[in-house]
Amino acid sequence: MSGVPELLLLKLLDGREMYGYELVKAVRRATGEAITLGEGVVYPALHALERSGALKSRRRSVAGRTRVYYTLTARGRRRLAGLADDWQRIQGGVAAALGEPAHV
Amino acid sequence: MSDTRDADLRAFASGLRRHGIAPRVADRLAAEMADHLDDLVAELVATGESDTAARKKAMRRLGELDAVAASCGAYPELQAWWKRHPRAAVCLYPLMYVAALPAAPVIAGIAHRALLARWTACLFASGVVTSALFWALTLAVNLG
Repeated sequence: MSGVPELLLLKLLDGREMYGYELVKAVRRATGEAITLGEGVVYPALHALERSGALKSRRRSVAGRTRVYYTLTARGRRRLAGLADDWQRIQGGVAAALGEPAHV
Repeated sequence: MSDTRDADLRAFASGLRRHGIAPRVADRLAAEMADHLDDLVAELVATGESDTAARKKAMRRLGELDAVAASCGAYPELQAWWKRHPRAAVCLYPLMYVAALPAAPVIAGIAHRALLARWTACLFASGVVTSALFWALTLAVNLG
């Protein structure tokens, strides 16, 4: 479903900076292995979020390796709140539909 | 750093450009993918894999890099301006080339300054030789 990768990435980056590889693993862990975002989804989504001002990045050298770390901006926090609201609404709607007795 | 890895990443970067990704973004994505690959290899080596086997497995896990490049190309935010506005590019590029035309000889001169200096020196030398010959000829005619 569109918006889910962005929602997960923004949520994971809320209050903590991470790099791409870390995020791929964190998504798997956070969703109990239910969702696996491939590199072809994570990296373009990160760059697109950065371009829209929801994330900012910086190059950091850790143990002889340089990595691009991403953090949430104020705009990103607002975007996260919006996407989370949308998701709750969709989830509520689907749950309500599934809870209804089947029409015969 | 293996040659295969470098070749794959170069192909990935050119694949990104082929899919219309802005060059600056393509370079950064390729660098991040290289870091990602190294992390995957390090993780596999830590589980007891040999370096070669880990690299092969990491590349397999990463999948077709061209497919990754294609999915990057689907994000309009990452595309170069000419890909986002192809009609504007069709109009603007010819105008830019026409505007740059007068500057082309200067740019070419700067780019090939060593060659240009050699040619200028040759031209000057040939001018000197020709003048000397004319002068000698004139002298011979006057004296004769």
